[in-house]
Amino acid sequence: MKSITTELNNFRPVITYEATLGRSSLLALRLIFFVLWVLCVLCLTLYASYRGGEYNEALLGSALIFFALWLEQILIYCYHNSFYFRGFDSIIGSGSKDSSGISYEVAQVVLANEHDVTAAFMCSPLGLEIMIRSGMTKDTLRAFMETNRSFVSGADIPLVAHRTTDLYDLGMYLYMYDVNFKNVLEQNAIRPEIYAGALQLVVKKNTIAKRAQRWWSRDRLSLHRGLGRELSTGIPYELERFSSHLAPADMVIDKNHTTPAQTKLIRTVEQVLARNRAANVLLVSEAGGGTLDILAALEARVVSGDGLNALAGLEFLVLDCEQLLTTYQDKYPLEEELVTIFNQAAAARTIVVIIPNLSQFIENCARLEVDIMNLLDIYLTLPTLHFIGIDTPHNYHTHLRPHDNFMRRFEEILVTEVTTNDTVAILEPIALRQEGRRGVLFTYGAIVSIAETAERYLTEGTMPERAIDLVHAVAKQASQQGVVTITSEQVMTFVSEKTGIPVGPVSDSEKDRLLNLESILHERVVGQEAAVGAIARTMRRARVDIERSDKPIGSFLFLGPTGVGKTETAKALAFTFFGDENKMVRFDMSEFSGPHTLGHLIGDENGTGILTDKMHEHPYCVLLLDEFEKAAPAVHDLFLQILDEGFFTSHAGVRVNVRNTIIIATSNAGSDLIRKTASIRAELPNLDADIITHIIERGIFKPELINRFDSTIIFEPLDRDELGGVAKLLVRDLTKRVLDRGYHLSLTPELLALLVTIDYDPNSGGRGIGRALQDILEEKIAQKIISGEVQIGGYLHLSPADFSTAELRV
Amino acid sequence: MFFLTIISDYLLWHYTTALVSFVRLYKNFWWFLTQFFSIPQLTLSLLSPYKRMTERRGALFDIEGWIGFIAINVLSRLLGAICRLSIIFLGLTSLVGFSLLALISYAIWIIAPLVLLVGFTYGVYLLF
Repeated sequence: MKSITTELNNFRPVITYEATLGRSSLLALRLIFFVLWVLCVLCLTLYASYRGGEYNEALLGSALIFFALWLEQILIYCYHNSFYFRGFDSIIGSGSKDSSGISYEVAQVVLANEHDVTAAFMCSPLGLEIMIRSGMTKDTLRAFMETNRSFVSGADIPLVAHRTTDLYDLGMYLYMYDVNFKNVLEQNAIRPEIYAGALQLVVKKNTIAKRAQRWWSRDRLSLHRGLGRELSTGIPYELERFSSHLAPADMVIDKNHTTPAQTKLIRTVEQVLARNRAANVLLVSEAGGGTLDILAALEARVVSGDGLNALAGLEFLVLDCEQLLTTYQDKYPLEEELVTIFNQAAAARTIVVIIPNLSQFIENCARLEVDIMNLLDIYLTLPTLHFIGIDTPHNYHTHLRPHDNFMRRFEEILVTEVTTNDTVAILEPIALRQEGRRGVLFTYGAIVSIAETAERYLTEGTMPERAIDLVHAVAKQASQQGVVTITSEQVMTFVSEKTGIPVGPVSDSEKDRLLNLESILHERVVGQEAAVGAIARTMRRARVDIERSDKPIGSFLFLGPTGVGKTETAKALAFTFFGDENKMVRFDMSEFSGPHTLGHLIGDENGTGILTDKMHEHPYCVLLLDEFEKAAPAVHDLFLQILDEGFFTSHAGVRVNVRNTIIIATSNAGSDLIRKTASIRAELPNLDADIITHIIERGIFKPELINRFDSTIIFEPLDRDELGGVAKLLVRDLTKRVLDRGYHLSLTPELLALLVTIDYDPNSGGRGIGRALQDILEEKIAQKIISGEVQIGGYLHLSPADFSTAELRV
Repeated sequence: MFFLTIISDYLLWHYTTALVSFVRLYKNFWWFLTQFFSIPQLTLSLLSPYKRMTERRGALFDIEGWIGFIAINVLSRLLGAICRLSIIFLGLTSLVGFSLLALISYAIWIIAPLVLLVGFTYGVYLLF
């Protein structure tokens, strides 16, 4: 097997030349020698005319030398190109592809240090960029170089069969066969796919930059708009008034580097447009899915002659429906204009009319009593005119699909939602453009994090648009803060700050909080060891993303009698996880028990739903569903989907994301059994199973609904000691409130014990204590303040002696 | 020795790979010029009306309408043909000019190493 050093010697002269003088010197020297040659020829001519035909030998000699040097520079330029563009179509033409050897960049790396290719790779400009984009720092690289490690020699690296071995191949070889290199990446938590992504991004970026230098290639030449095309096709004057050309693709890095999904879509559209009749397409895509960018990439293919022959010469124009309808606000002028537009476009024979928001256009025309579907019908059958309609899935299903006759003129193509990998590929060119604009550098991990966090945690807008917005926002913040390299951690911090959800690596303070979640929850929740333990375990799993990301962060069904701490636990969770106990949206589900109450939640023809609105206002929260058992079966079915998929579809057809919430449903169902079994202190695992079976048997919840929750948690009734603990917590709150008014409150332990005893009722739990405190203690404090027994800044020390027997029986 | 190897490698490239590439480059620019002047499209639509502007046929017995229809359409086609022919002519001239230039460049390319050597040596001889 041949190694990459086989043809290294061929590259040596050109690479030595570039290392000595630089590639830019090729142009400069060529220009200098040409100018000197022309000057010598001019002087020679002047001298000859002045001296009556006699020539000056020195000037002639100089002219010949400069000519020779200029010629030599041209030859060197061509020779250098033949190596510099190795792996491209050919050195100065197109068509045949080189299928062997190594690329210029590989030769540059290996020639720098043939015996330690890893070091040469990391020290080369592109290699260094790859390492930094992978997430390594210069210091780590330096430290790695200085370690005692084994070397990979160029002679050990084989050539890739049937194509040119490029920097990507070299980088991947080093990763696979240089153990030290692989270890240092692993030690720096750089995953293989991140390294491969960075490698591929840098190679792609370099290839595109080099391709732009090849002004003689078909790609570059096809960018020039030709003469006289409109003479053969005719000019659709009216259409040009109300349309625009496709803008350069933002989401497509280059027509040669589309994502697999984009390539598939381009090919499908191409095949439909190449048909003889009814060659029209309806692209069904979520807004912001980059459909126009994909069409721009298709147009670039057609212009450069890469597309199907049948599409040669096609011109894509986007109809400006708004401008058209603003200009013509009456039925007849609008109809007349539309007929003229489409007649001219058909006569031109090469036009593809793109109509964004097709259903909206139809609706707006209908308002002016223009039946656009009928009017378009004849044009849709013409072989000389093509239409591409674009609409959202919702509009397609609601407004377009019912019109069978109109729809059969189109080939419907569903643009599938982009995957995270597609989003990463779409973000690459956008990130590179932002780098140029803001003076920052995105690591590949940062780009991947943007794609993942935008998908998982951001709810505004559609993908990949919200990921693109995130690229812009992160780049802007980094440039304002003077950050040069944007890492995955910075992206996650940004998203955490924006959403309030802890994302990314667990910080030290958060680590303590998560590991001690049980004790933190116990600061506010008394007893309920099993419940608190189960919640803490689920939340820890959710934080490190072990759970499925297409479900809510966590979902719990709290079962238990009233006053045992279910709501307080929800509040404590909101405070612990979102940093604010007010990040809780509470629904009394008994209000949604009627047969038509689903519409109140998700919206109906009268307006948007309360759940839809709340989820838009508070996408990151604890969603507390009190008395869940009382909700109608249709509402239970809605939550069956929410718990499983993390979203629901509103009445308007909009997908509402609920994946960034912790859903807590509370229920008193089975309370009697819980009390009964708790009183005999049954073993908790058995208790759980018995209670759940009891609830299912009584038809309160369907088994599949209970199974959808991450955990079903039984809250036991509080015993006397635990109620004492609740009382302490309530008194602590009361003391704080009284202190805010300027008084110092303290209670004797005897009074506290008495308060728990006098209103002890296992059925009302902590609520009974709350009532006792309000009725007895707060009343006494109010009396003392009003009577002036205690002044502002004074001390209120209460004991049983301060209360009469009657007062303690309230 | 190294210098001699470079020279021999260079000359091998100059008279093999580069000559093949020269042909590819020629094909590229030929494609570009035919596309730039839209020669195939203009030839196919040579007798079509100018910018596809036509007059509609009048009523069956409307002589004036018929004369107008024939006159306008003939004129439009004539004007179209003249304009297209002009661009086709310009395109063909460019192609011929380019082909000549390519031929000369090809010839120069073949003798370039010799020209370079002779030019430089004779220049030095004249200068000193």
